[in-house]
Parts: sequence; C-alpha cells; structure tokens
Amino acid sequence: MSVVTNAVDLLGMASLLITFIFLSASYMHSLIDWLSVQSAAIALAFTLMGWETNSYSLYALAGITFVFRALVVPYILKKDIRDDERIWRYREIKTTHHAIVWGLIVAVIAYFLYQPIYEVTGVWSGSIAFVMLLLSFLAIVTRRNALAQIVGYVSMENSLLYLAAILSPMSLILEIGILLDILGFALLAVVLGARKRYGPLEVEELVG
Amino acid sequence: MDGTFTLMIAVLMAPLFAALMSLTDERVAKASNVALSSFAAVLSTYALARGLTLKTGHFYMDFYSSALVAMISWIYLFASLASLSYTNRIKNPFFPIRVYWALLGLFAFTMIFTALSRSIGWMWIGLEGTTIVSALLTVTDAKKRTIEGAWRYIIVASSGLAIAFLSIIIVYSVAGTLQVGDFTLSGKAALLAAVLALVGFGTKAGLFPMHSWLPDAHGSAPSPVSAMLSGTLLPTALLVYMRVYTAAMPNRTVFRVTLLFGVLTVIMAAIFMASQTYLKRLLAYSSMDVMGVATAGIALGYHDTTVMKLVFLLFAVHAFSKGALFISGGSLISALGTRRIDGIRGLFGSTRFSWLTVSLSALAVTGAPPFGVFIAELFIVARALRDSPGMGAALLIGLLLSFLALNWHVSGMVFGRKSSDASGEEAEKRPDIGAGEEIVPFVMVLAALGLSLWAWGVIV
Repeated sequence: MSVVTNAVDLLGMASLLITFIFLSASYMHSLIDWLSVQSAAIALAFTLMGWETNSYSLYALAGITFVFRALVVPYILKKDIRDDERIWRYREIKTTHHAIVWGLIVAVIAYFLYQPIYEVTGVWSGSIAFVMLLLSFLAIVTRRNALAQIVGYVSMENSLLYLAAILSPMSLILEIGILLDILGFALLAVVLGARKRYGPLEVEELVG
Repeated sequence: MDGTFTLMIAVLMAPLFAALMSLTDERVAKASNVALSSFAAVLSTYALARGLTLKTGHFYMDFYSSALVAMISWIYLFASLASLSYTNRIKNPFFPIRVYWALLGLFAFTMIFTALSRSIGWMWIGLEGTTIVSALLTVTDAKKRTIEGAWRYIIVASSGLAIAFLSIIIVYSVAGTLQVGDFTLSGKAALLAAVLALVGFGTKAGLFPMHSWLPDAHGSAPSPVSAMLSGTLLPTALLVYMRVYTAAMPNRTVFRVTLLFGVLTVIMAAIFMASQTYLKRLLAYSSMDVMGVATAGIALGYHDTTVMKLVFLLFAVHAFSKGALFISGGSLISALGTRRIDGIRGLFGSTRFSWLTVSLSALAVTGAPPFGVFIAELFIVARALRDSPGMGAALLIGLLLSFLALNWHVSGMVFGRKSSDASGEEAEKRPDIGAGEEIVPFVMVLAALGLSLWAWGVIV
C-alpha cells in the first residue's frame, strides 16, 4: 500500500469522524465549521488521488470541492445566520437524542452492506466512504432544521464523490460534482428565500 | 443518420431556447414556450411516426426514447397552454413569473436530455437536473406548505439519486463503460447494480416505499407542473431503470425483485388512494399506482417486447389523462378555494366540460376500456399470471382496488352533493372557471382517447 493511499484513507477516516459530529452537534456555528474542515479534507484526498493517477479531472474536482464546499457554502450559511446572530449563537438546533447511537449502529450495518460491493469491485477502502454516505443520510433525516439538513446534504455529496473516486474514477466525475454543487445551491436558494419570508425553516409533517 | 441527429438536436434545443428567451420578458416567455413546445411536439411525433433511430457517441434513440421524447414535448405544450391562465392567478410568486416560464422550458429540456443521452451517467445528470428545476418550479406560488413540499422533494429525490449513483459506479467499475448497449452485467454485479438502480431511480419514479416525496411535491406544485411531474418525469426515471434492467437480464432475482416492487407499489397506492382527503395528493397516489404497473411491465417486458411497448402506451395515455386531471383539478381548487375532495361536489351541471374531463380522465388512468391503459394492463396482468401467478393475482387485486378508489372519489366530485351542514351559500357555490381553462384539459383527454383508439386499431 503506497503512502498516498494511506494518506487518502487517513483523510477519509477523519471525514468519517466529522460526519459523527454532524449527527450530534447542537449549534449551527460548529456544524458549519466542521463542514468546512470535512470538505477541505476531501479536497486534499482528491488532490492526492489526482497526483497519483495524473488525473486532471480529480485536480479540478479537488478545486471545486475546496472552493464551493469548504469556502462558499459555509460562507453563505454563516452570512445568513450572522443576520440573526443573537438567535443562532444560543439557539440549540433540534436533534434526536440518540442520534449518535443510531450512527454507530448504522456504521456497523454499513460495514456489512458494503460486503457485496467489495465482492464486485475488490476495493476495501470504499467502505470508509460508504459508511460516511449512510451517516450523512442519517444526519439529514434526524435533523428538523433545514440549514442543518443542508450540512447533511453537502456531507452526502462529499462522501458520494469520494466513493466514486476511490472505486472507479470515471470520466464524468467532474460534471457530476459540478451538478451536485448546483443542486446544493438550489437548496440554499429555497431555504434562504423561505427564511426571509417565514423565519428558520423547521420541516414539519405535511398533512394529507 | 445526420438528418435524424439534426432533427433530435432541434427537439432538444427548442425548450432550452424557450427558457433563455423567457428571461427577457413575460410576454416573450409565454409566446416562446407555446411556439417552441409546439415545434418540438411536431418534430418528435414525426420522428416517432417514421420510426427514426439514433446512435452516436453521446445520443441514443430507440423506439422507447423516441416515444418518451414525443410524450414530453406534447405535455410540455399542454402545460405551457395551461400556464397562460395559471400564471395570472399566482398572488405571491417566489420569483418573477418570467422565471417560472424559463424553468418550465428547462424542465422539458432536462427530461428530453435524459431520454436522448446514451450514457447512463449523463442520464443520471439529466435526472438530477430535473430535480433542481422542478423543485424550484414547485415553490412558484410561495406558501410555507409549497416550500416544505419542495424541500422534502429535493432531499428525498437527491438521496434516492445518490443510491442510483452507486449503481452507476458499480456498472462503470465492472464494465468500464456507461454507454447504453455497450455493457452487460452478470452474476452478483448484475444483481447489485440493478437493485441499487431500482431503489435509486425508483425513488424518482415514486415506487413504494421510496414514494414519500411524491404526494408532497405533486400536492404543492402548480397544476401544469404537476402534469409534467406526473406524466413525464416519472416515466423518464423508469426509462433509465429500464436501461440498467435490460443490461442486467436475464437474472431471475433481478426479475423477481423488479416485479415485486411494481406489485407492492400498486397495492400500497390503492390503499393510500382510498383514504385520501386532498385532491392533488389523491392524483399523486394514482400516478404512483400507474408507475407500479409500469415497473411490473418492465420486469415482464424483457421476455416479451409487446408488453414493453405497451408500457409506453400506458405512459402516453396516462400522461395525457393525468395531465388533464391535474390541470382541471387545479382550476377547480383555485375556483372553489379548497383542496379537499369533499369540498368539490356537483360538477355535473355546474361546469361546462370539467365534469366530463375529470370523469373520462379518471376512467382512463385507472384502466377502463377503451383507453390504452386498459390494453396495457390487460397484457401485463396476463403475462404476470403466466410467469408468476401469485404476483399476477396480487397485481390484479391492486388494480381493481385503485380503480374503485379513484373513481369512487371522482364520482363523488361529479355527481355528489355538498354535506347538509354546509351553509346555503357554500352549498350553492359554483366553480368560476373560464372556458379557456376548461378546453386545454378537455383536449388532453380527447388526445388520450384518440391515442387509445389508434392503439386498438394496431392491436386488433
């Protein structure tokens, strides 16, 4: 196993641990800060993979990941909550109390769910990204606040692209990365537009 | 091939041009969408009628994609026509109305792009594009309810597409290509890729149990957008699944799982329909029911191309008649000021065409003869009873239940009377719908009838 592969796995593990923080953090500021750190770690992993495989797509993906997901999205989120600094600084965002326990259970289940993918692809290190992906789903579904769900969405995007890069760096990975970022910005537009009209969007059950 | 390529590029680019022109001015937006959607509808129908096919590095068109492109273009035209009056009723727009028109064009463009792409990777990108555009369209009329509906739609649909992306990664890592027709899957790879694709693209198609976004988005979206979501977006997602399914067959487990998802979706949709309170959510569950039958048809169609082609007849008749139901329903909801089914009563006698449009459309989507859905369902159930009798019987029961559920609700709307405790004024309230608003859905249901009669002629 090369030094680069070890470094990529290490960055993946760090990102995975940060995903656990997305499940349990109670304050918006810390969620956004950790999102920046996770995106930067994933961007560094893409750079290393690009260097090892001499792939310009991965370099470009690393650049996009760093600029959009480590800088721009966190900046927009922080700018938005700065408008209501007094509210957000002390406002705990609702989370399920046992989210972290559920996270551990999901991580164990994800390990077994990855087995068939390993049998087909023969790549073990993809399990880190796969666990991260399922934890990001959990981060989305256990949160009721839309901004916190956006953090879960961006984490899902990070893990999906990381998984794709590890398993088979396909030619479309850059386009897919760009598209997922556009979708992320559409999410931001809807949430921020809604917040201006109705205040922080807590997603409630729709009747019917 | 060059002529076909040019023709299909024209069809693809028409809604994109309409979208760009829409950004200039609202009047230009209305004119360009109607004109260019008509242009796309005529050209795509010509391509379908002539049986034109296409296979280049980036584009692929066989009968199925050609039929889907024609369907998208026609529903886009009718949605544009219905939007002419709909946009006048928006009181609190989330963005300027010209942006609504631009998004409508982009929505059609992303669906046509998905249907014509040769790579399943580009198809996935196209489907993600539809999520972005249609979610924004859903919030056109800015209410907290519509924003929450759009939000849930984006979160659930993009999570589903993330799972579909896993399937694409597996296809690429095993086959080394994503080009339709260039890859086949076998063994565990086939099972894994197909099941992930079924769950992922099935989420976008509204299959049980990943359907939760469907009633929220359909219930919240503007009616012309609901018509496009239901009539064309759900079949587009199933077309992508069909490509993966075909590459993964013959695999008995993949066949059984696909059939099971289809049958379960039909049964659950029928149960949800029976207990619905709100009209647009009822129609959304009806779309889920039809996608369930179509999924079963795709499963069975691998061994029988007639069944596969009839799935696309089912899509087409459903698209026109469900579009008519959504547009009529939207006008009734707006005119009567209620979303509740029991608030819409006595349409027979109080409306010019709406009562007939709603009745015929409900019969069409639930598979009453002579509509094309009946022919397709007959073949699908017959084939299911032969290949898997238990599943076939369950499918038949589900279809009967959904037929009763939707037509029971609709007959109440058409012939029912307001409850005796309603005030005199409320009981006498007649829907104030302009003749123009009634004509578009009526023409749509006539198109569904015409298409069905043509299909009878071909089959008999």
